[in-house]
Amino acid sequence: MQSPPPADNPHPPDELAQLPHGRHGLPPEFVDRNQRERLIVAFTRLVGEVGYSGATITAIIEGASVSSRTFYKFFETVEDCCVAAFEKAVEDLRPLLATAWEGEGEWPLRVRATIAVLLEDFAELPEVGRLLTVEPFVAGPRAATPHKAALEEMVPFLREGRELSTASETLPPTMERGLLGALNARVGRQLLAGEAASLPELLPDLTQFVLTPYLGPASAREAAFVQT
Amino acid sequence: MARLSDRDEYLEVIAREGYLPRDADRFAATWDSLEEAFLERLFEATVPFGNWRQRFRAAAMETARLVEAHRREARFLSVDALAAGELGRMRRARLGQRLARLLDSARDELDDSVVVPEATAGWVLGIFFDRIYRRCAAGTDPDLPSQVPELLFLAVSAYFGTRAGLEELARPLR
Repeated sequence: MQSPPPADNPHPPDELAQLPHGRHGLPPEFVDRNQRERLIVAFTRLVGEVGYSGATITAIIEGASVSSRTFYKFFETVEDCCVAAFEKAVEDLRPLLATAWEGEGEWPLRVRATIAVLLEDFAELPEVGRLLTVEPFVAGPRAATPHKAALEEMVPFLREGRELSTASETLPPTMERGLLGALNARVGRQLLAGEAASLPELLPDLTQFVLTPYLGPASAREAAFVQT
Repeated sequence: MARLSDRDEYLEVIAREGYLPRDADRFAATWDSLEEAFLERLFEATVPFGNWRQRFRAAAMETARLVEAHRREARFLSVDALAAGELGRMRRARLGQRLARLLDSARDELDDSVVVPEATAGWVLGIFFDRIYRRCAAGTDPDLPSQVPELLFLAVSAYFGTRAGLEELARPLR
């Protein structure tokens, strides 16, 4: 049985739903977007289960319920799919982090709130956390490039903390990259160990680590353990 | 440190083909041999020094030199091993725990009033891992020895505070 064309159907399928078989009359751009998104979602799920190394094209297309031809329509390799999934995940995460940042007034609290949202999001969606923190290292240099760019995007926000430091002139120029890299590594390790649910418990420690070079250990600790 | 200079054929295989489950035994043997060799080198580099900061400085510099001089081996430990699933994860966790114990001996030299989070050693390892990975994976980042003062600053700050960290930046590289 064929599905009715969209004109007769007031409820077109959900963006990520498997499309009806046969002639469905859906706009080609909707179909393309739906299939590409499903491939990305399937890849992300697989990463959460078996990591990048286990995410074969066969497993991805099975998860997305599309053909290999459809996969190759959008991506040449698994690495391409990984880069697309990474970029989509960053796109989804960006407004959450921005809201957390803007929700606080003082810089130390902004840093704390942003780390909190990141940890909560990854606790809820460990596969996304793993995609963003671990898999770019596994997938190779091409996937590592957007990862580096995503961390770089956060550098200016951290750098604002130099205004609060009495030693701002002497702080190393690439310190923020070091702090973000360490944050990434710490979170990634927890995710790889299958301990995503306890990620939010890292909040005070991670906040303290990030704030210490700017504020010194005592003030950093105070801000990290503040009750909100 | 004979073992780091012995060419292990498997290092070439995994670099070329990636990790394959059928090579699990070879992977484990290569990892174990390199891990022991690396720790032995760290021990040799740090044993002449009395306090933690001197030992840590020596260990960081030795690690940086080893990464530059033995790029294939460093790449195996930091990049190739990431694709080795649970086997790689367990090996990395074991090495991480051994290094974390060494790092955390900094606590013996801390004033009692200072509260350093339990996770500090893991944090410091993350700082180093990130830089080593980037150096080995793409080879585009600056050479690791030139990054050591900054790495020392971040690590020492985490245990002893910013003032102590800044002293590391001012110290000439040896």
